[in-house]
Amino acid sequence: MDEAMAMARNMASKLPLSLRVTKEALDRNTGGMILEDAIRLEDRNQALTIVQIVMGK
Amino acid sequence: MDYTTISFEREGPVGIITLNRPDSLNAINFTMRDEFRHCLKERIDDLDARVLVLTGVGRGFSAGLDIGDPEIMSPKDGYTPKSAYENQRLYSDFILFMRQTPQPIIGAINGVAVGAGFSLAMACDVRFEVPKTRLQAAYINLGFGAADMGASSLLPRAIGTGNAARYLLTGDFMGA
Repeated sequence: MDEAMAMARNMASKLPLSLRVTKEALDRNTGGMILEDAIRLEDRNQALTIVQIVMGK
Repeated sequence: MDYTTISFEREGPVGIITLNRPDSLNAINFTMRDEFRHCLKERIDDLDARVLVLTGVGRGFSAGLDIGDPEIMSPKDGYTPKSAYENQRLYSDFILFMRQTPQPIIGAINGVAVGAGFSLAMACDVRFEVPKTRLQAAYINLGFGAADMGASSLLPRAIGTGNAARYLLTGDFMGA
């Protein structure tokens, strides 16, 4: 937790816009743009499989 | 909103979200689900918080969905495809909200992170792990699909497709 807080304070010392656009670019350029599609497919799987579990098979 | 299963504190520009059900290894019940969603949604428009830290109270980070809670596994009206899908989205939204917040999220992963807890850890921008930290995509061991809450996208990004397939298909523990 100490390391996490030290890094958080370091990041928080940067200009807010710079921090924000860097997170956005890192996220989108490493697959973040397809994350919502990926999650919606997963959601269908999980809705199916929880019914499987509840039915006991 | 007064939270009972999480906390949100500020230390200057740093916002600290803490999962706070230590007696249940911070397992996620309906209350925590709703409180965590509320807290993340507020952060999307929170210009005072510039960085977020996500951690848990006690021995572990999060044991994931609280499958011991009958409200979750045996709801009184059962599960229909519609209710199961709608319920699932209330959890998977966590991951989308975490990617939508303007703040980088630093995970202080203070012990085991299993299932939904594992997915929360994977959705952080940066992770710090204590030596005893173990990550587990436990989903498949319980009869769920292992691609849950972003795991099929976030884990391959982090450790490569071969390793991701191994851990999702076996449900084995990963070291930190």
